[in-house]
Amino acid sequence: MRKEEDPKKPGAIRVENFNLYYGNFQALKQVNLEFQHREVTAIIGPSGCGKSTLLRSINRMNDYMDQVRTEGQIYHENRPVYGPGVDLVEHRKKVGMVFQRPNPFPLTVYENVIFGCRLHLELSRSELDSRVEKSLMSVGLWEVLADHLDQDALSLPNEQQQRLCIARLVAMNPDVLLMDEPCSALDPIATQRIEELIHELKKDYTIIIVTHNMAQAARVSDWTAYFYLGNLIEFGRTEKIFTRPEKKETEDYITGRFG
Amino acid sequence: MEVKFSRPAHHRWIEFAVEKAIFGAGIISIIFVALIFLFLLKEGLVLFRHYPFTNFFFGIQWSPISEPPRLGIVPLILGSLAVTLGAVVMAVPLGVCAAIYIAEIAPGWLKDILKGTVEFLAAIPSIVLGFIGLVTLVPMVKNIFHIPTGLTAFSGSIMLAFMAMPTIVSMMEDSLRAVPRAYREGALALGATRWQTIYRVLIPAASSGILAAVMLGIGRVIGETMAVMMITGNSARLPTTLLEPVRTMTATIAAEMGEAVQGSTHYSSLFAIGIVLFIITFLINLTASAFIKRRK
Repeated sequence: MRKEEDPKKPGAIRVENFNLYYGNFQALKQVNLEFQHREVTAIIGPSGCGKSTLLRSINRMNDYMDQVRTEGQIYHENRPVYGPGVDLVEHRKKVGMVFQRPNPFPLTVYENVIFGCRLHLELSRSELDSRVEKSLMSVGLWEVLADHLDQDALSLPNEQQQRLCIARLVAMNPDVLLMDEPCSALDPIATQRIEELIHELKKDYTIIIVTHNMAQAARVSDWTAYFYLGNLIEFGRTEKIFTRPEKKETEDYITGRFG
Repeated sequence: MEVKFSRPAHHRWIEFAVEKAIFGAGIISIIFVALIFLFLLKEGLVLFRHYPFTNFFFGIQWSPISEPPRLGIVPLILGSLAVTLGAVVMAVPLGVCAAIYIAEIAPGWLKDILKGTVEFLAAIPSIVLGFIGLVTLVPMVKNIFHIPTGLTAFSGSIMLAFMAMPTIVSMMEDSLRAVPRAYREGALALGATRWQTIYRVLIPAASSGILAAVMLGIGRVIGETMAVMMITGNSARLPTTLLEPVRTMTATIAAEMGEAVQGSTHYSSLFAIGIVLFIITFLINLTASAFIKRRK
């Protein structure tokens, strides 16, 4: 009812004619895609379809791999992400990433949350304290960890580690959260709770989530993009993709006939 | 037709023999270490029958052939300490930087060349390094500081810093490389620069390996003999600055073992120095392996 019929409003992230090559292998082919503000977009597809590659391209995590070449452009709030004048540090402050396996730093809970703030901002102790409280609250960890801020983050259970990784992004007030299979290392109950958290976070952030779990895509997302062999096959409202997909390939994948 | 699953008897016999042979080889090395230590104790502890314990450990004069002999090892310990500390102060910062460069910054092809070269440094015999040091480093130190002789603790430190580098760089590089990629990506994704990633995440994460590398480097330095003997001037006096000749514990043993009469007080005092050295090195290695174990 809303964004789909409202082409004037530009998305938070816009991908235009984007190609990515690993050496001679083309991992993404002419991708055009727009991610809407404060909504969750799921990227689905079989392994090797380029879904993680696209996600990593959005905050340029592929820069550190050898022999990666890109063509086309990605825009964040109409500012190009690729090009000579791009301030990567500024970009990554606004577009944060959560990885497959929780990767808190081997530091205390407190230091993990304010890691980014310490890098980029000059904050007083009390400002830091309040950021820690606010961030942990927004990921539902404050009640559990308020008295354990000095605990080693690596000693937390997996689910809390993953929440902590989200908290350390939230602490920097980003616009966009990129999540690369954020539940793949978690058990079903923890997964459910992270999904609930994604619902909560949607109020404040644009979220793009890569998942190989179609049920998860159906549960958490407003939009779904289906990729196959580096091509964007279909993109649309999640309920539409999962009930009345336009393309035969999408239907085959979603119904489990293939993939 | 009947199928036989049991192996022929001679297979089992070979299995048994190999197992025992490997066990024997393993146990032999332990027995050797124990025997060496016992021999060292036996030859060294005799000293304290004729010579007071406190005079040995707290005496500040080492003149074994004076009458009566004075066998205070304080100058020797200080000599070893001065040379070792000097070497550590030089080798550690340099080693850390080299390791970081190799592990994190150098492009792939250069990495292999650099690491190979640093490790090759370990293959140079210490006597060769000592000789090169004697003809190049010693005159240089003499001229730069305008001192009567270049055979000083400082020259020894520089030489030993070189010798400790391969151990330090190679081990540190390994432990930096062992830091999970996820930490790196996590920091970069938070907008950290390469340098911020290195000093805020990688170094803390690799800290136990880095400390272990430093300890093993120290172990290498404190046990080194030939090069120090050639370069440090071998004067068993209490050093007051690094720009003076010193004599280390190792050099003392090497220099005097030939002339000490077997069974004499002098002879057993050299073994007693050996015990002290053994204990120091043992403690250093113990600390290093404690650091390594702490690493998850």
